[in-house]
Amino acid sequence: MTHDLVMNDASLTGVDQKTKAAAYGPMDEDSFRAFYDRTSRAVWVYLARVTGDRQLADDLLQEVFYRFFRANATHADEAHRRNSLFCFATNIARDANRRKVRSGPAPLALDLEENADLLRIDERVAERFEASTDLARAMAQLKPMQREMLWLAYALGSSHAEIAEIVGIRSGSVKILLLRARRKMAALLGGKR
Amino acid sequence: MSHCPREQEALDLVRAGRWPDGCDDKIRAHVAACVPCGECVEIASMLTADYRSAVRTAPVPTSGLVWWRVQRRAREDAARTVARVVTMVQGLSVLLGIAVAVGIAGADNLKRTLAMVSVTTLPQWSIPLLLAITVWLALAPVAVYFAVSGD
Repeated sequence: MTHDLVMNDASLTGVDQKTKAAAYGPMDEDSFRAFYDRTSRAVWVYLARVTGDRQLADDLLQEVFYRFFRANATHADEAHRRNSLFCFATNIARDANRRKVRSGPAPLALDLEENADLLRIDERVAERFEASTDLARAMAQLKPMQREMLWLAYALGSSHAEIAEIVGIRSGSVKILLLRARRKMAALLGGKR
Repeated sequence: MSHCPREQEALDLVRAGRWPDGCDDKIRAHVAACVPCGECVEIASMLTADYRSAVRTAPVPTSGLVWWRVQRRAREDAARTVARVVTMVQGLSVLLGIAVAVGIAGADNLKRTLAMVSVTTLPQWSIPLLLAITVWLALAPVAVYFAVSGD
């Protein structure tokens, strides 16, 4: 299975007719495992980017799927089920971010000075490394909701209605909030160059 | 200008992996000249590239392992809930037993006391005692509840 495609593409939303026929009610082992295989990587990356902490994302991923399973909810279709999962992920990541704020900031995951040798090895690697560091730093300076919205809109390709459902705001507010987040992100990225 | 009607078109190109080489010169020229489209493309390109590289190496456990953990935790939570209810019922039973014992002893003592002490001295000590018993009976179940729901 390829994981190259973004959220609004077939790898996450496209399910065969057999899966559709299995409906979107409470999950048995087979449907849970199939759904997990389709979504877990996207959820992990979302958690890692929204919290800025890969290790925390490992722990939170388990929590997201546990709470999702325990909710035992019925969904209208695959997209609704997936949005519900991301809703759980968003709430759990927000709780984790609040705990992090109370306990103080975490150290940066990448140290440019320590990794200076790595940067000299390959220009392409170095470029990608710098780009991801810029991105991580810019993301870290955004508010949690701005990170969530930008990731959902531009990395996962969610619609405004889906973003509203996942983030928990009115659909009409998404456009303006997303615009503000995008401008702030562009300014942060522009300031680095 | 805050929005451009061609933003979605530019975003679709980025998501489809067709930016910048797989699209025509017109849209490239537009994105170069349009601030909102330029921002969209820049941010979408970075986030999409980051997502695509991260999702390949995301260290997620297998679905079988997660299913097993979910089931185990669900059983543990159910057992904890049952244990909490059992503890509550046990606590209330003990309190009820004590209340009955105190009631019986109190009634017996009351008879004896009424026989021994005068009617005028009785209220001086029995009212505080009755108040203390009432408060204890009211607060004890609350204390038991907080003691067993601490986890």
